[in-house]
This record gives sequence, structure tokens and C-alpha cells, in this order.
Amino acid sequence: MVNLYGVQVAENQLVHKALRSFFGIGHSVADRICAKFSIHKTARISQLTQPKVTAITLEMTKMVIDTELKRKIADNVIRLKDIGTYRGKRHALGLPVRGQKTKKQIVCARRFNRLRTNI
Amino acid sequence: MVPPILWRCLRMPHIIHPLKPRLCLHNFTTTPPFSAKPLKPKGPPTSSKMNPGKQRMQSNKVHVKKKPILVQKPAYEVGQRKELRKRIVLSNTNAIPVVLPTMTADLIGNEDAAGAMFALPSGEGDTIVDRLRALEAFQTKQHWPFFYRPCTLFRRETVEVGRLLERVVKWEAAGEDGRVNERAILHGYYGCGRSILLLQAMTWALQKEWIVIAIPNAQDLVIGHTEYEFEGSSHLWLQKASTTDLLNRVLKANRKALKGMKLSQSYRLGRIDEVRKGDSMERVLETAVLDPLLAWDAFNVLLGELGLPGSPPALFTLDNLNQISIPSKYRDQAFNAIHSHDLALPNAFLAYLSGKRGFHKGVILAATSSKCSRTLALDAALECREVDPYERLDPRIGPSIEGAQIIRVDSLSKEEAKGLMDYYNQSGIMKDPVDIATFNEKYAVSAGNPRDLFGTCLRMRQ
Repeated sequence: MVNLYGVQVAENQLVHKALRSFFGIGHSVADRICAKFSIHKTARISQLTQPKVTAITLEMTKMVIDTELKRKIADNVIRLKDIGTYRGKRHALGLPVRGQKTKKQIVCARRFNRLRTNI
Repeated sequence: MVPPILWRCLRMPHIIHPLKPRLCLHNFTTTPPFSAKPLKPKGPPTSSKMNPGKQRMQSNKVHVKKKPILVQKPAYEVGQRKELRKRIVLSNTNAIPVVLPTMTADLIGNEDAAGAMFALPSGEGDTIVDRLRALEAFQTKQHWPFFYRPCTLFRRETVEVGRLLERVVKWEAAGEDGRVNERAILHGYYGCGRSILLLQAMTWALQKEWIVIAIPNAQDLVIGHTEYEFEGSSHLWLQKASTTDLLNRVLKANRKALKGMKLSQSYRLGRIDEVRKGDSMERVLETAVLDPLLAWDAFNVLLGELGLPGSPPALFTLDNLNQISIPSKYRDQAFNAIHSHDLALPNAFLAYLSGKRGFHKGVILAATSSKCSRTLALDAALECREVDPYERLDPRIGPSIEGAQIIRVDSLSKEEAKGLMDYYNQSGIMKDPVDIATFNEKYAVSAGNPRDLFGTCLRMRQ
């Protein structure tokens, strides 16, 4: 197990996939991180040297990802609510924000549109 | 018509005899009546704890006994499938053995032999086939497992390739001091036998005890599956893992020739290791194979030594040239695609192919591939046509193959096709005898393409 950005990652995990396991890192960003450190696409965590793992972790600390990103999103929603916008209200009610109908099919809105303060 | 007597009246009257005991009817059982247990009284069981008001519902679920969870063994071990996929079978004991002459080094550039089949040297104590296998000269889809032993057709193009080697051999025999480098690209349609021509050239070179350096598939260098690293001094991207593999192959195939090569000066490998003047090249490569960090330096030492007078002749081959004429899948630190020519190994090969670098005596052969996305710049360069300035072609491709002879590998002539078909017939591949009608039919269907010809010969059998 290797400690990558405070998370224990299995040795045989692909580096690209391990990076994508963090919230806020998708294919594109993972590609760029790999390119920055000259990591080929079939490289596994076990093939990385310790300085390289540290460098990747350092690079990731500079980025807004994971909990930090989630908090940022939540803060934006709370800001909308605080200034009394329609979008903020809809978020607080758990209803669609962008003018969708609410007769049926608002499952996603119920799931996602919340005021998350406890992140 | 209604019968005069009713049916009911025909019945026997039901008479019960008063003295005769009434028969006691039981259900059929094998248990003797005296040993049977007394029947349980009907009604709810007295000891039941069930609430008599509620009826017990029987579950509809089928109770399957759970199996204990076992740790499943994977169907294949790690790397086993790749090994199966890449396994090369060169003989088939079920095939009929065909007596053929061996492809010896005397045949280099022999025009008279064109159109005949020759077996690759695989006698007792002859390790040419093993060495070719180490160089990965055989490919999986070349139908080797259908035949008793590996045999190849001597073609017109084989003569042309042989002439390149012949010139170097003559130069060597004459004992002249100057450098001689023959450079050629084998180009043709799909399945026309470019890789087999490389194989034939390697066979001769190994027999002559040349140093053979072969890159069997250039695609492996550019698809981004091996590690890479930027080297500041040469501004190239090193691929240490690929270089180590290459050196491993070179070492396995040319051990004897490498043993005879002595270093002309001391070299430094990596930061610490040093090889001294007079050491054998075999030792250098053996050191480098164990440590990927030294591989690139050792490869340069090998190339450098082959450029010096007194070194043995060398054959440097690369298959699938098209693959290194398109951008690689590697990315630099700014996320730009790395040009294939900036990768160290393709760069080294192209330097030799274009004549920027050279062996003291050597042949450089490249073969194009038909299994590649379009490479317009390479096509234009191979056709030697003038490029329209408004065409956006890669400007680096043209100069990279400049000066190399282009050998057009064409379809088989009728004589060659006849020789090949006779061989198939003798090996038991073809069911029908080769008469003029069959030959013409199969030659016409395949248009003389060796790969298609094999297909048509095999297909009739099914």
C-alpha cells in the first residue's frame, strides 16, 4: 500500500485509476498529472518511485479536489441561499433549480439539491 | 332406439350377506399390519406452542444450502494470456515433412534460386532458428504452425535484399577501409511479405555472424505502454524498459559475435559503472540488461563501437515503419503529444536510415506496415512525389527516410506462386493436386498476394 494524498492505495492499482478515485479528478486531469510526471498509461502504483509519489501528492495539494472541492460547491449553494436567490431557495427545498417541471421525475433534484453544511 | 329394458334393471341386486364379515379395505402398504405403529390421533397436537387461531403458512422459498465461499482461482495467471497470444509455434509434427534445401549464406544475391522454397537452417547444433526467435523475427500470424518446419520462399525481392548484404560482404572481403552502409525500405501492399524479407535478411546476417539489432514492432515504442523519461543533454525521451528489452534480444541472438567484440576505449555507463578498454561487448550488455538505468548508455556504446573500423558488420532492422511516422501516445510535461522522432529509439534508427549516423559496415532495413492509420507524409516520401506546400504534412518525415533505397515488394510472380503452392501441396495443406486449372484459379483469386494465396489454398480444404 502506498500513501497517495493521504489515502492508502493498493500497489497493483493503475496510477491513472488511482488518481481518478479522488473527487474532482477525471480522465482529463489525470492525463495531465500523468504527463507532468512522465507516467505512462499502464504504469501501476508499485512502479512509482517514492519521490514521484511525493511529487504527485504535492501537486494534488495545490489543486482544489476532494473534500475541499465539495466544501467549495456547498459554500456556493449556501451563498445563493443567503442572498435569497431563487436558485438558493430551490436548492434548499430540494427541487429542480433550472426551470424543470416538478410534476414527476425530480429524483435527481431531490438527491442532489440540498444545502450541505456538514462537509 | 330406446331399449325396451332399462340398463339399471340389468344390474345385479346389491345383496349383503349377513353372516359374511365385511371386507376391511386398507391402503396399500408393505408394512405388516401387526408391526405397524398405531396411527396418531387426528386433531391439533397438544404440545404445540402454535397459536391455534393462526394457520402456519408454508414458505414458498426454496431453501438451497449455501455453499461455503471459496477464493476463486483466476482462470489465467498474470501474463499467461499474453504469453499464449504471443506464443510462436514453428513446427507441426502432424504436417508432412518436405525435403527442401537449406537457406545458407551462399545464396545471398543468387538470382537463380528465385522462385524456390528453402528451409531455415535448423539442424543439430544449429541455433539460427532459436536466435531468430530471440530476435522476434517470427510473427504469430505467419502460418508457421501449419508446417513441419519453417520454410520461406526465395523471391525476386529476396534477391534485392540479398544484394544489399552482398555489397557489404564483398566490401568486407576486399578488405577496404571505407564505410559502407546500405539503407533500404521494404514497401508494398498488405500481406506481401515484407516481414518475411526481414526474416530472410536476418537469417543470412546471423549465419555470417553479423551483429543483428532488430526492433520487431515499432508500435510498441509509440503506444505509451512503457516508461519514458526526458534526457536534457540530447533532448530526447529515453525508453529505458524498451531499450533493456532490445538489448536483451540482441544479447541472446548475437552472443558469439558480441563476445569477439572488444571495446576500443573505456566508457562510462550511468553515473558509477565503468567499462574498460578491452572488455568484451557481451559483458557490457550483460551488465546493462540487469539494470535499466544503464541500458541507453550501453546501447550507445554498442552503436558507437559498430561504427569503428574493425568492428563486425551490423544489420539494423525495424518493422512497421509507419508507426513511428505518426505522433506517439506519449505526452510531454506541457501535455503536448511527443513526436515519435523525439523518442530515443526511433530517433536512433532513423538516424541510421537517413544516413546521419552509420555503421562501419552495415545494412539498415525498414519495413512498412499496412496495419496503421494513414501516414500521408510517409506515403508522399515513399512515392518520392513533390509535396504541395498547402498540404499540411509532417515536415520531419520526409528527411527521416531521405536517401534510403525503396524496395517495392510486389505480388508473387507465377513461378513463385507455383513453387509456394507445390510446397503447400506437399505439406498436406491442399487437398487437390496442383494442376493448371487449380493453379490459375487460386492465383487469380489471390492476385498473387502471398497471404491471400495461403487463404485460398486452405479454404478449399474446409
